[in-house]
Amino acid sequence: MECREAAELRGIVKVYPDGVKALDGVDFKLCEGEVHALLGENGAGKTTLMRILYGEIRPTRGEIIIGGRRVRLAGTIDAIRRGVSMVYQHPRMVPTLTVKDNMELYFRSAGIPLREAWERLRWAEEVTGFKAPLDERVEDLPLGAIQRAEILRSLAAGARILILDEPTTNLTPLEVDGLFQAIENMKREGIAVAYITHRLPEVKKIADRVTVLRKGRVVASEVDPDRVDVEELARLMVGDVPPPVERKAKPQGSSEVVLEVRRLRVRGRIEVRVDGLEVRSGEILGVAGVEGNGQEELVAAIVGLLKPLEGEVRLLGRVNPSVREFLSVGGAFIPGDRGKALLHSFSVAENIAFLLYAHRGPNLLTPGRLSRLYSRVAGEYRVAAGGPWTPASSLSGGNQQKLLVGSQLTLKPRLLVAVNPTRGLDVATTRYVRSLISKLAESGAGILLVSSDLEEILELSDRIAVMYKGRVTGILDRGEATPERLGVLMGGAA
Amino acid sequence: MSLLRKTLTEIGLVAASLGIGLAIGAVIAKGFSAPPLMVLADMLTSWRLLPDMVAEYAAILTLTALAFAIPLHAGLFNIGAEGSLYLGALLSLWVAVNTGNLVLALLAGALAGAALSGVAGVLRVALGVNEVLSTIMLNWTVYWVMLYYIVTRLADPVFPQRTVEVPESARIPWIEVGGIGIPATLLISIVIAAAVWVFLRMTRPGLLLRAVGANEEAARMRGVPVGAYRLLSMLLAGLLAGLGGALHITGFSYSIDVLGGTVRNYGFNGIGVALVGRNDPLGVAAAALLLSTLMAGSQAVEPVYGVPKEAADLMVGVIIVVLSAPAALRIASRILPKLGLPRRGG
Repeated sequence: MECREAAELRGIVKVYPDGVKALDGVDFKLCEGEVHALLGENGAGKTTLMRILYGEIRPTRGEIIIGGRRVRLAGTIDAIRRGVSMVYQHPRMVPTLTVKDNMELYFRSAGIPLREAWERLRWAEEVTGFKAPLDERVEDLPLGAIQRAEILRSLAAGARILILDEPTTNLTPLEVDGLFQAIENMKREGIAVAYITHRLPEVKKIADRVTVLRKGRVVASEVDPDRVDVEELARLMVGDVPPPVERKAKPQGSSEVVLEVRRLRVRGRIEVRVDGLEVRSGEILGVAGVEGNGQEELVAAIVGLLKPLEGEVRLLGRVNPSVREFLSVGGAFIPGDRGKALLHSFSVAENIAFLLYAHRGPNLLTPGRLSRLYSRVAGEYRVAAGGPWTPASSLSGGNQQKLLVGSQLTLKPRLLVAVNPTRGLDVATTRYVRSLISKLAESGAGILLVSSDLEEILELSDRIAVMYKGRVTGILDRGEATPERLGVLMGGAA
Repeated sequence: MSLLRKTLTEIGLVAASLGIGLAIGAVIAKGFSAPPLMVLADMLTSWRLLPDMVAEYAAILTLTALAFAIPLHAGLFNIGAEGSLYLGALLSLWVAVNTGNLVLALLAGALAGAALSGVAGVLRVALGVNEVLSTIMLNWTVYWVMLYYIVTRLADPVFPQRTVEVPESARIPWIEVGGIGIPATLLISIVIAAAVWVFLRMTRPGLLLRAVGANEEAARMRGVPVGAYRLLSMLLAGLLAGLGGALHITGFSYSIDVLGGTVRNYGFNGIGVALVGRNDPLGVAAAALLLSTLMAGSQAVEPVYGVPKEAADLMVGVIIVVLSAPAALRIASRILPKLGLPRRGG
C-alpha cells in the first residue's frame, strides 16, 4: 500500500522523573487512511507513546513529525490544532454538561471556528453513522455513547489523525461492530487511525499494520496482521505465554449451596432486583454484562457493603451478612479496583496482614510475624516485591493484584467473590490469576466471578448469568453460551 | 524504597532542615550584634542552664503532639489537644486539692481530656461535624470554663494571682537516673510515646486505625468499623492531652495563674512538634526534646547576649517551619479537599 505519511515519531525516549524508562527509542509511522494498531501489554508504553503524539507528555528525546513538518507540541491544544486527537479509554467530558456544551468547550479552547466545527459534525455523523446526543447530559449517557460523542467531537474539530486508546473496553459486542464499521468509513475519508490495544482478535479484524511494543521498545513493526496468526502476535507481545485455563467438568451430583440470592432488591447507583441466583461449592458462576448494569450493587449486597431493601442474601446459612460476617464465615472478596482495596503507603507485609486479619486475627503483629506472613503469601503467589517492607505503591499493577488475590486465597474461602480479577494485567499474569481461581473451585469453593471481559467469563464459568439494567436477563450453561448469545443478552435484546 | 532507606531519608531531611533553620537563626542573631555561633550553641545546650524548663516542655509537648498524631493516623485533624489539656489540668488540680491523691488526680485529668475529645469524636462519627471546627470551638468553651473556676472555686485566698496549689502528697517527684535528676514526668511521657509506637506499629487495632486514615474505602471493604476507630483515636488523643494537663499541674506548675497562661499553647505547639516528628511516636518524642531545648534556649540567651526573647522565639519559629514544611504539605494535600477548598490540577 502506498503510504502518504500523516505523522511520524522518531527515536522517542521517555524517562519519568522517578527514573522509570517508559519508552526507549521508539519509531512509529502513521499513514493516511490506515488503521495502525499499537499492540502491547499493560505498561508496554503504548499509551505513553500516543500521549506524546497528542502533546500531553513531552518526550525526553526524539522527534515528532506531523504532516511532514517537525514540530514541538506545546500541549494537547496545539496537537488538536494540528489535526491530532485522542479518545481515551475513560471518558474525558465534563459529566454535568450536555454533549453540545462539551463540544463547544473543546472547540473554543482549541480556537476552532464554531460554524465550521458544527458543519463538520454533520459530516462526521454521516461518515461514522453515529448520532451525537447533543442535548443529553454526559453523566446520563452510557460509556459507549460518550465514546461515540468523543469520536464525533474529534472529527468535528478537524482531526486527521485519530488515536483510540483501548476503545472496546466499555462496549457491548454490538457496539463494537458499530465502532469497527465507523473506523472503516473514516479510513475511506483518509483519516489515519492509531489503535491502541492488547486484544489480539481486534488487531486481526481491524488493523492494516501492527507495531508491537514490549517494555518500551518496538519488538516488531510493519507487521501485516493478515499474515500472522493470533498465537504469533501473542508471542511477540509477551514472549512466552502459558496456555489458557482448561476447566475440568464440574463435579456431578448435588453439591452444597454456598450462596443464594432471593428476591433481592438493593439500590446503589441504580436499583437492582435479583431473584434465584445461587452458587454451589465447586462451581464458578460468571456474571457477565456491560459495566454499570447492576453488578456493582449485587456484589456490594452480597459482601455486606450495601443493605438490601428487600429480600435476602444467604451465605452459608447467614442471612444478609455484614462485611465482617461475610469474611468470618468463609467469604473472600477481590474488588474490581485494587486502588481502592490496598493501603498504598503501607508496606507489602502490612497490606497482607490487613487483607487477612482486618475482620479477625492475632492482635500482636510483630515484625517477625509480618515477615513470615509475607514470605508465605508472596512466595506462594509469586508476588515480586522488594521485600516485606517495600511500600505497596511501588509494586506493579500485576504484583498488586497477585498480592490481593493471594491474600484472599490464603483465607481458604468457601465463597470467593471476584470482580474483574484480571483487569489491566498482562497475558501471563492474567492466565496465572485465572488458574488460581480455577484451582480454588476444584478444591471445592464456590466462586462468583463478575467480569466485563467476556473471554474471561467464557473461559472460567460453569454457568453464566447476564445482567442488564439491574436485572438478570438470562442464565446460560457453559455449553450453550457463545459470545453472540451473551452479547445479545448484555445489550438487553433478549 | 526499603524501610531503612526511608528512615535514613527522613533523618537526612530533618538534619538538612535543622541546618537551614539554624543558619537563618544565626543570621537573626547577627542582626542583634550577638555572636551567632555562641548564641546557637547556648540555645542547643539550654538543658545545662534550665533543666527543669526543658524537661517540662518536653514532657508535655510529647503528649500533646501524640494527641495530634494519633487522630491524624486515623485521618482526623485534631486541634483539640489545647482544650483537653486545660480541662485535664483543671480537673486534676481539683481532685489533687480535694483528695491529695496523685493517682486519682492523674486519672481525673486523663479522663476529663478523653471525655472532651470524645465529644468532638462523636460529633464527627455520628453527625459528620468537621473535627477541625468542633475542636477549635471546644477549646474556647473549655478555656472560659477554666478561667471561671480559676478565679472562683479554685482561687487562692492568699495569692490572688493564682489558684490554690497541689498538696505535697499529690506532686510528682524527681528521680535519680544514673546520678542525674530527672522529673518522673518526662519518663512517663517517653514511656507513653514508646507504648503508642508499639500500639500503632505492632498491633492489629493499631494497623486498622492507620488503615482507616490511609484508605477509608479499603477499610470498609474489609469490615473495619471505621467510625469506631476514628472515635478511638480521638479518645486516645484526649486521654493523652488530658494527662498532659494533669502532669503539668502535678509535676511542674502546681497551680494555674488567673489568666491561664501556665497551661496555654502546649496543645498548639504540639501540632508543630508532631509535624517535625513526622507523626511517628518516637519521632515525636525526639522532636519534643529538640524543640523544648530550643524554646528554653530562647529564654536563656536573653540575659547573656542581649538578644530579645522575641528574636530568639523567631529563630525557633523559623526552625520549626523549615522542619515541618514537608509534613505540613503532605497533610494539607489531604485536608484541603476535605474542607472543599480548591486544589491545583485535577
